[in-house]
Amino acid sequence: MNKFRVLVRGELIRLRRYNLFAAALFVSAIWVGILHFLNVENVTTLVPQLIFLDVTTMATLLVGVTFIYEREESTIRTILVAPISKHQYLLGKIISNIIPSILSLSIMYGYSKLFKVIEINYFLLLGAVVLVSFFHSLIGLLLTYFSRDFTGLVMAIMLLFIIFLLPVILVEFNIITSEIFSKLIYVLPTKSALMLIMGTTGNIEGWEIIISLVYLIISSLVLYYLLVRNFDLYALRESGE
Amino acid sequence: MYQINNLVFRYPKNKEDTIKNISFEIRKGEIFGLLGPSGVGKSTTQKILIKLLTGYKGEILYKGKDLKSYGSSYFEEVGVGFEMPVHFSKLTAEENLNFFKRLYSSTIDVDELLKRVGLYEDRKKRIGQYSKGMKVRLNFVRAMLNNPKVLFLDEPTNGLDPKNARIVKDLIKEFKENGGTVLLTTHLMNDVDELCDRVAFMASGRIAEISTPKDLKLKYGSREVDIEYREGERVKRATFGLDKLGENEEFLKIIKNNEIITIHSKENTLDDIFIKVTGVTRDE
Repeated sequence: MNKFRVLVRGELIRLRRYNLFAAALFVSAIWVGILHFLNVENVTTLVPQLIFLDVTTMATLLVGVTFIYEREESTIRTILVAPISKHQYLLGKIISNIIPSILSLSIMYGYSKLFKVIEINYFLLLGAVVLVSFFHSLIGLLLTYFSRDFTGLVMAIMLLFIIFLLPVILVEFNIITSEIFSKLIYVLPTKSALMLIMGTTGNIEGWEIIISLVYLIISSLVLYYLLVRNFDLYALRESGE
Repeated sequence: MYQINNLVFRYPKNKEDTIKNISFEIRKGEIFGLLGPSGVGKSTTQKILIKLLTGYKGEILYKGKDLKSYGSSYFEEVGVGFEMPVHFSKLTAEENLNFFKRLYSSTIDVDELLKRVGLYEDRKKRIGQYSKGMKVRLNFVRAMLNNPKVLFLDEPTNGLDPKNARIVKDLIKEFKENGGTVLLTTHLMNDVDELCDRVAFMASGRIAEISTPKDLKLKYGSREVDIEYREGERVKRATFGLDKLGENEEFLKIIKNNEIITIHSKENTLDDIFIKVTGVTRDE
């Protein structure tokens, strides 16, 4: 079997065995509960908003947790002496981390198609989710590099959410209406993520979607470069310096 | 197999070199022991050889080629047995091994090895349910998984009962008999004595001594023999030089006319040599 496929399959098995899939499904169930109990028939806008929340939070958290488990169980050491490249290892982690996001998207979309009204192309939304999840998986991995333990990771993620996610949510849900603030948050990659996901509803200008797409792709490339560049230092630390 | 020339290594945050210009070779088909107290650089040396650490000065040749020129395919030929457990605790032993097995192009008969180390019946148990000894044995299986040419073993019998330690030591010997090369790091000098063809003692980042266990014992021991014998009602002791012992009249008279209680050559144990050579008491 191709090594990359082995790595992805291994990650997915571990996501299941360490109950991380269950946690992701539980969060999806909460989103479906919100959709079910809100007295809104057409959920074309609400579903992408919930998917945005799900992907940005869960992708960052899940990949971080799997990384922390590997550190705590020292399995990272034995992975480092296997015949795989760091690209295979890191991409295997990232790709497998996108699967729960896709699952969550499919559950919410499926529910909405069956019981509500949703006017979004699933595959456009899928593309957006894959890119946003990829980007946030990179953030999760980088945060884990610099976190000592699980508590440190959670603290780092909390800080990240306050700085990057909260302002975007406050504007999106019209809690903050200041025009300057609304424009300022365009520098945040989370705003691009939101634009890309919301763009699937057809209510966002084409040029805004393109800029968001380019911004996220460039940011992802930069983060991936940083991830690979710092991997040797991370490996050095985890091998028991 | 390995030729290490003028190896120097410093950790990024350190002010001093951890490895200070060491040179040695590991020959194909030998069991080479790398010994020394904590913090002298033996783990660092091992990590460099298994490519976990880069940025060293000097030269390391593996099969005549610069170690740096090898990519991840290097690990197809190398097996690493860690001292601490390195398996996913919520997966069974079989699942753990199957995962790693699929990463290699060539593998051994895992079931056969699991049977040899006494884990076959427990292969479907989660690692979280394993005892320390079982995890140590599983680490050994993991190291052997890819049918390696070189084995790096860190305390392979630590935490094992005598029966299982014997099994693992026999497997290491078999590996060597089949042409494998082993770099062994351990504090159990009995294991070193039994397994190693040559040993290197490290102290303060340098190699303080390198030779065969036998030669070291001769070098650091006295060429003398102690004899304890009964003469009438009294127990007496005497020491004789080993050179021309067969011509020593007094010695011959004692063994001919008295009941011998004990007789020992005064060679040092590897434990004694460890302390003498490294200059410190063992602390790990």
